[in-house]
Amino acid sequence: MAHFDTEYQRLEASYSDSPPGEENLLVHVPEGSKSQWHHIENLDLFFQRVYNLHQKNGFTCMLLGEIFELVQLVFVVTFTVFLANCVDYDILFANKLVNHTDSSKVTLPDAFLPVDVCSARIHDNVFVIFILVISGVFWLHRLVKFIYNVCCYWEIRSFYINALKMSMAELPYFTWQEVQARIIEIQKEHQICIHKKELTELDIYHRILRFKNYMVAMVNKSLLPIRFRLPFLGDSVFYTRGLKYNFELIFFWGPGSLFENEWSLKSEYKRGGNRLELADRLSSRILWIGIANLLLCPVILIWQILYAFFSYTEVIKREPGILGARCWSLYGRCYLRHFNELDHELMSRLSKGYKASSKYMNCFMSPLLTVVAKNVAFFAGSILAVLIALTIYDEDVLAVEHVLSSITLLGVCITVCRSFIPDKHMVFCPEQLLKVILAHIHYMPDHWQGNAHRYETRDEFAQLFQYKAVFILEELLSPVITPFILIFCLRRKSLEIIDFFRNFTVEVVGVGDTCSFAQMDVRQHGHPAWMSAGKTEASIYQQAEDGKTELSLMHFAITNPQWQPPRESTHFISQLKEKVHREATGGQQGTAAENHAFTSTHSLQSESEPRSLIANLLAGPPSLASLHLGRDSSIINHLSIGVSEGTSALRSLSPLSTSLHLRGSFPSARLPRPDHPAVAAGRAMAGSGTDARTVSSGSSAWEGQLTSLVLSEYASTEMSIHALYMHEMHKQQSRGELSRHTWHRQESDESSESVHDDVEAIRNLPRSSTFPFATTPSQEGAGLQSSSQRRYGGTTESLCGGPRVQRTARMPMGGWSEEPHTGRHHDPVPEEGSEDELPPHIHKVT
Amino acid sequence: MISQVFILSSKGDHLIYKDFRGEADKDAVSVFFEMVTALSGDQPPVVMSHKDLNFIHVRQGGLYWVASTKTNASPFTVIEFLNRLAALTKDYCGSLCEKSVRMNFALIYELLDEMVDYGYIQTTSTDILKNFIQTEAVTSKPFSLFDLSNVGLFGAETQQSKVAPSTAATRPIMSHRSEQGGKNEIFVDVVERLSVVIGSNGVLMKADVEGEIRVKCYLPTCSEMRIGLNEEFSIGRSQLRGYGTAVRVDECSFHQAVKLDEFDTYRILKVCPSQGEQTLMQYQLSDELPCAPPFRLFPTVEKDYGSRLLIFLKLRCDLPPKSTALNVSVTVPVPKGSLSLSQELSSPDQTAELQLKNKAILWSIPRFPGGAQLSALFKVEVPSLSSASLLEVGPVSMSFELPKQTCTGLQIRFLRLSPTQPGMSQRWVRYVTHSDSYTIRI
Repeated sequence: MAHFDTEYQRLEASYSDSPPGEENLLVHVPEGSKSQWHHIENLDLFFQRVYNLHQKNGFTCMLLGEIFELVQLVFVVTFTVFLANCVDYDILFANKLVNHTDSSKVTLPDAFLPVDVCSARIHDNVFVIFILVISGVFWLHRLVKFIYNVCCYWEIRSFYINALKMSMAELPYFTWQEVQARIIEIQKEHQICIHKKELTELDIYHRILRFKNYMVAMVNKSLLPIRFRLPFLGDSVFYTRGLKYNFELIFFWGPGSLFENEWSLKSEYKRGGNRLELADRLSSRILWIGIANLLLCPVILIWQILYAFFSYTEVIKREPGILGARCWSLYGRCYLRHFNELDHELMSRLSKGYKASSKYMNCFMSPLLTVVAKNVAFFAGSILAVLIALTIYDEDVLAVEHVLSSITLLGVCITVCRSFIPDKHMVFCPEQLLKVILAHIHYMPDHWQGNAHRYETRDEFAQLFQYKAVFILEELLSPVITPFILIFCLRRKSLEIIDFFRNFTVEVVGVGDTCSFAQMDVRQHGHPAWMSAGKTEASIYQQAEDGKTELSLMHFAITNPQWQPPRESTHFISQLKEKVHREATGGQQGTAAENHAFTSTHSLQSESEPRSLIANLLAGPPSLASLHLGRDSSIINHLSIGVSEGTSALRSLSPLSTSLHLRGSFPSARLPRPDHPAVAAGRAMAGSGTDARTVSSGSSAWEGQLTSLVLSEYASTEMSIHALYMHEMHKQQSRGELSRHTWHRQESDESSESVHDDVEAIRNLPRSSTFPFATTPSQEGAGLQSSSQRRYGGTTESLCGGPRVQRTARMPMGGWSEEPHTGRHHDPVPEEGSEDELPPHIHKVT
Repeated sequence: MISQVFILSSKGDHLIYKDFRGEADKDAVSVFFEMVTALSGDQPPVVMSHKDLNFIHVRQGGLYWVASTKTNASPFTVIEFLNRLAALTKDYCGSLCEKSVRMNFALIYELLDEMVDYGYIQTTSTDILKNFIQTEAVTSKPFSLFDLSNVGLFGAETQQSKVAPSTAATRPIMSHRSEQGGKNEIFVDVVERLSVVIGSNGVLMKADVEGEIRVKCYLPTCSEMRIGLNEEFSIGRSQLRGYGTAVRVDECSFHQAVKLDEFDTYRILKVCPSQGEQTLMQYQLSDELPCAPPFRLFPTVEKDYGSRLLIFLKLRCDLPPKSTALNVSVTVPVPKGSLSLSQELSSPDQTAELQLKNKAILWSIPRFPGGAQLSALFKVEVPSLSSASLLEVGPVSMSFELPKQTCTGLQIRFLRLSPTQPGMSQRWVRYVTHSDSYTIRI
């Protein structure tokens, strides 16, 4: 052909390209590749299963678990029916005498009704029959699913064994990162995915977490109605498994959902043209699903109660403290989750933060409650002591009516009371604890910082970290409340949801439609207040809140060091890493030089007991003292302190001890053995994160000797440092912006020219719409400003022109957290026209 | 009735000469070449006559393809025949150039023997000719270099099956006996030509796009091929389909073999391709450029002290950052009497030279990444520099090649063969936009 230098590209076939009417044609698999793993149709499911099998530690464990689940179901139903119908409670409670009199003992079988009576009772009771039929159908459904799953997972098992060359026995010893690396490796050989020659880590994550990313993004943009303002309880979050299930049903996989199949959004939802009609359709669907929920409510409720009863009663009896224990709430898991973070990563992160979090929560003991609890515990304890003493003296006491039950009850009572009595050795240091927590959970609204001692902060944190009892209670209430949330709250948001899916779906080659936030593109979704200022081109609507994009990017890059991010992101990451590295070494060396005594004591402490909070506090004073000075001093100074404080907080982390050991055991350490042990320890501490970085980036000679498990521990430490640093930086920046903003307002109070700058300032203001209610005074001011600005901007649209127009054009979606009176069809008139002409926000990312 | 067919190189060498009827003299060739070179201007007339001999010629691949006839034959038939001969030569020899014709003269004589009998055209169909042609083509390069299925380009396995070099399509359709079977490949070219005039204030004054879809098929047998274009493809101004950025053209025409029954609904071209190259579809879009013009020029022309003319050019490439323009050359006309040129260019791989014959500076840039901005400062020595001669500078014309770009946004969605071929059939696509004329006024 003509003489061009252009290369030919391979014309790839893909499932989306088959013309209408031809979808069912057989896909021709070329003979060249003989592996059975060539071209897997539904890679989403495939990767999910690969991941699940890995998380459940192999095929056998998984099989056993599922079988037991089935058995459990049968057991619960039969046992309940048996208890309800086949037990003669009169005999059990000895209200009635047993008719055979050869022995005075009542045996358990005596209390059972004869089989014929029993079955007759069951036959007569229509309700029981109904329940049995329903549960039978449900069980059969589960059974079919189980058999199907076994077949699927058998395939996955052979994939592990044949393709990945990992036997099931040693699967628990492989980290997911290793499994993933192998998958990427064999893609070259087997061509699992035919759209791309090579898979990347991000592709696999995208596929596994496609819907979860959407959920995280929706929670991040506060799109889901899970936060309510109740008349007496104040603000509260209600997000249960049932609700989550319904959300997923509506959006992702239920009949008529937004998604066509696992990997692609229905094409009409990608178009802006008939969004109102689609929103209507969605809202009517939500209505129907809500009504279905309402109808099924009794069944689900009964199931929930039974399930809770059987699974928790025994635990409560054995360990009553569990009710006072806390767990990360479902909402917290959604709020704290990074984009592209797998379950096990999230769980390990949260579990690491658990101790600090519960300590933090325990700091807030109400003194009044403590006094009451102490006394109640005293009284209950004395009665219990007497009863126990009597029992020891003569165990016939136990036979007295209600003695055993009162002993149990008193025990429960004491345990509950004890949980309200603070530890004698507890030190009230909420700010420090919050730092430690932040190092693990990575996200936190801006106004918590500096307000850690306040009860508001504690209450908000309690939404993320709730009592187990509250969790169980919410789960029990869920079947009743869910339909109402669906019908009354979610339906109102249908237009926003439609807009969300249209605007934030991108088609990625080889992955399909995915949430654009999950691309972690700082340019598209960065928040200027989170270090991506200048790099981001996102409007307010497009910015992820709480620096989620930036932190997620960092997290993903650190957990997957092999991943090669796109160019802008690489730039962002390397810049940030370099800064952190510099600050950490610089700041720490400064403090080390100043405070030999402190560091030496602390190093001793930390070597003996690396997890102790005391080590933390010991290292605290220098940084705390200078923190006060630093408040007014320059940013750099302040930052270094922030980081050093952060690293000091990190000393409580476990990998540090390993890092020390490593340093000892490898003579090839690059640092010359210093004569001053204290300095060495201090530097080892300070450098732990940076060491981890060099190790994980693979430039170190140690790499071969470190297993990837150690690497992942380092990675988490490194991520903690980065998270702390970014929060610190964000604090600096927001403070700077704030002062600039207020100054500006004073300067040009009456001049109308300030409008534009105000917009800038508002845009740069840290805003946390996920915690919008408890704004600090300054933010309230900003909020007021912005809302007035919004209205103003709407009217002056034609005057300003330029880039502003576009921003205002998107505002109806973007302004949901500011706009005080967002109606359902709140679009300004010009929006309708411009929306259709705008190119759709679907673009290919290669 | 054709008397003679001959192929001349651009210098007038006789490459192929075949006399079918013995009517005309042998010196007709030199007579023809004298006539062609005697005429000034670029394009000599296609049909010329000398005494009672009529010459009809086309120029392809830098060669003259000439047929002479004594009778009053239909000139269009002969032109079509000559074009077809060139196309067949290209199909059988791989590429069309002087060298390949020289090396494959035996093959071309054989072709001519089969195509024309005693001056009467017998057949020009590749499929029929395939059965009679025995001679193997001699390719100028050992083709094993591009043996794509075995060895990667740079030893890297990852690259090899993603891209093929542009020369991959220039191989003969008849495979060598030694490598049995050859490879079943299809190459699809989407080539667009841009004619753009940009005013001195940066406003588009004229923008036309002409495009075509060409298929080069190496499949021995193929019953039907379906090529899917963008579903949003629309013709004419009225119909806009789909939500995406519609791909719009003003008009398009198709090869006669293309069946269009699925085109209206699904934008699928159905065709039974024969071996060799075919242009399936041509389209054009006038007075509109769906994308931004690829290059913007910011020129400054001023008189330096003495007789020096300073031309400062800033050239910005408005392509997306990932794409690159290749072989960019900028031609800046300079005033009469320009003597010498000194230049400052921003990177060493660029060159600039003063072509005294054309009175122009030729600035060539081998690679120009999208989003980049290059600048060049030319100092031209013009002895008789007046303010009027400043007006002689410009307009600037450019030529370039934009790989992987189509201005209209036309894409090949898929290419499907039915029935599916046994063995791997590889399908390749190439999108190129190149400049037909790209003029920027100063």
